[in-house]
Amino acid sequence: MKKEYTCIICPASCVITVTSRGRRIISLRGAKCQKGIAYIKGELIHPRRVLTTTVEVRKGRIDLVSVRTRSAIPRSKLIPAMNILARRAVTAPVKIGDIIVKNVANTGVDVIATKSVYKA
Amino acid sequence: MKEKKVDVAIIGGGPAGLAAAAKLAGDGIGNILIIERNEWLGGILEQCIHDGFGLEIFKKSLTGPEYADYYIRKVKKLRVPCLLSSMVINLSRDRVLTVARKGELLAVRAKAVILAMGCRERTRGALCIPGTRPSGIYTAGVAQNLINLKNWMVGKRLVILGSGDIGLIMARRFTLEGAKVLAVVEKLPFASGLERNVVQCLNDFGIPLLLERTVVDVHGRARVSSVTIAKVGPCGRPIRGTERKIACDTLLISAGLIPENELSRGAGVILDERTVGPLVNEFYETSAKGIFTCGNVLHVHDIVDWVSFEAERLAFGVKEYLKKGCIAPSKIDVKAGGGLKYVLPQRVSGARTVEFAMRVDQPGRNRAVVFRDNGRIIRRFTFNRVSPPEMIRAKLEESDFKGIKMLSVDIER
Ligand SMILES: Cc1cc2nc3c(=O)[nH]c(=O)nc-3n(C[C@H](O)[C@H](O)[C@H](O)COP(=O)(O)OP(=O)(O)OC[C@H]3O[C@@H](n4cnc5c(N)ncnc54)[C@H](O)[C@@H]3O)c2cc1C
Ligand code: SF4
Repeated sequence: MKKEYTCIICPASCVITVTSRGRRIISLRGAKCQKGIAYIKGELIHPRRVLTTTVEVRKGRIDLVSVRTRSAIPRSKLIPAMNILARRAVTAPVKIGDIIVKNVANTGVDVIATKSVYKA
Repeated sequence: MKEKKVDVAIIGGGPAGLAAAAKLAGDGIGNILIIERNEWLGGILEQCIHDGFGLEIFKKSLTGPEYADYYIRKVKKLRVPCLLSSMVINLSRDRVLTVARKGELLAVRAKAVILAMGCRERTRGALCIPGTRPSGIYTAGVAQNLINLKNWMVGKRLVILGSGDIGLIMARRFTLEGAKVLAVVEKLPFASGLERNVVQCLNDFGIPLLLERTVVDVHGRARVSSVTIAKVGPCGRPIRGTERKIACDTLLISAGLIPENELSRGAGVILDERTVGPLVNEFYETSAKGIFTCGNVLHVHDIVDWVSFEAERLAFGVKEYLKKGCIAPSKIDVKAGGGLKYVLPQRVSGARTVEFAMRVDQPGRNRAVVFRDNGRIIRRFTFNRVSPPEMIRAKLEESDFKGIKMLSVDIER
């Protein structure tokens, strides 16, 4: 089977043509770098994504802190992780890089703050 | 009115203003002032909580606030003064700024001014969609601000008009927050946002991208109840008989960005019809002496890293200007020809290496960007693929400019 994928690792958005038989990759063409090849291999087996959202902050100068998973988590875990984060609240001060939830949805990946929120 | 004198006044504390300030202060320019209307620095990045920033500069995928944090820290470390919650309401040609701040006005006299005001969104008014005027219609950037900074869901069942990046990113954001995004409707035969956003934000969640279609009517009294979409013909007009109603409570409009140039106009800065931003030379100086510009106010960027690089090149120009009191005249006009929406800078001196930024008007593969002087080819650059949402860049060396009177750039198939 031949299929075209678009690499989403960087804005170069290489179009990578993959020829495969079942789960076996026969050829991979069009990736400008190794990251693209690793991405396609992952995409075929179990796609992963970085999750970004916000978490409520108490007693802060602003009411929300933006957060991210430190690295990509399985795509199927995005919604379970969102549900956990929707219930989570933290108290100011929060520093950029602080861990907000450890091992979110059993992915082995932590959720960290992407901005600092000072006390009100 | 209170008065203040500075060497460099920077209007806007977004990535463009911050990177320019960091570079200038880092190179020893002392008397700089950043003026920012928000209570915080970082510009639009503070609401762009998604990742994908910084791949060029930091070689990793940062979120908007993380990217901004790097430059904010740098500027703070260099002790660059910032006036927050302060809005520049007027700029004169001789570089006097009027700043509204905490109920008072302040006049700032600057040797050099950097315009870094960013851009604003095209609204429904700018698109002329007929129908009623119920609540539930937002621009995508406003919806992004509300959800990401105020936790305010604008709706439960959304239709998004326009496939620009902000619209695509909002489709995913609202889906993750539990809303249903029914469709993204795009007039062109291709998405106007980056391909990776189509994959990550739409395909991942099975959100349909309806190409060559547009919203022709909005229904509802107090609140949007549905929208009518229709196919568009080759000339961009809706085709009768193809209308379809979609029940929804919210319409998000992601119809592109326009450089924010009210202040520039007021100062008599000449704008380019193609970029809708100021005309500049390779030093990023506008037609008004001592007024420089970079970032989204100059031309809309898809990638913030290019904004930071541009700001650093601008800083070089500002330093030259402060040292010599003027910028060497730029006599060579640069014209964007077939296949290009624009090329920038629009004028060059020919005395030094210049990096040009361009946008194509159509997607394509294996295209060449050709620089010519009166028909004579100076240089060609080939690109595997080009697309209108992605800025392309090409550098001409000092030696390339020898004997050139007028430079034209076009796309060769
Ligand atoms: C929704 C969205 C998503 C994006 N996604 C990505 C992405 O995934 N990856 C990527 O690399 N890039 C992305 N970009 C592009 C990038 O964020 C922009 O190119 C960049 O922010 C532009 O920086 P700027 O400093 O020119 O403008 P801005 O960030 O808009 O900053 C302008 C600043 O000027 C201030 N200002 C304006 N007028 C005045 C005035 N009169 N007085 C005082 N202050 C004033 C504003 O308050 C603002 O803080 C995105 C942009 C948007 C809008
Ligand atoms: S293959 Fe490499 S260069 Fe191409 S989009 Fe992916 S990461 Fe970027």
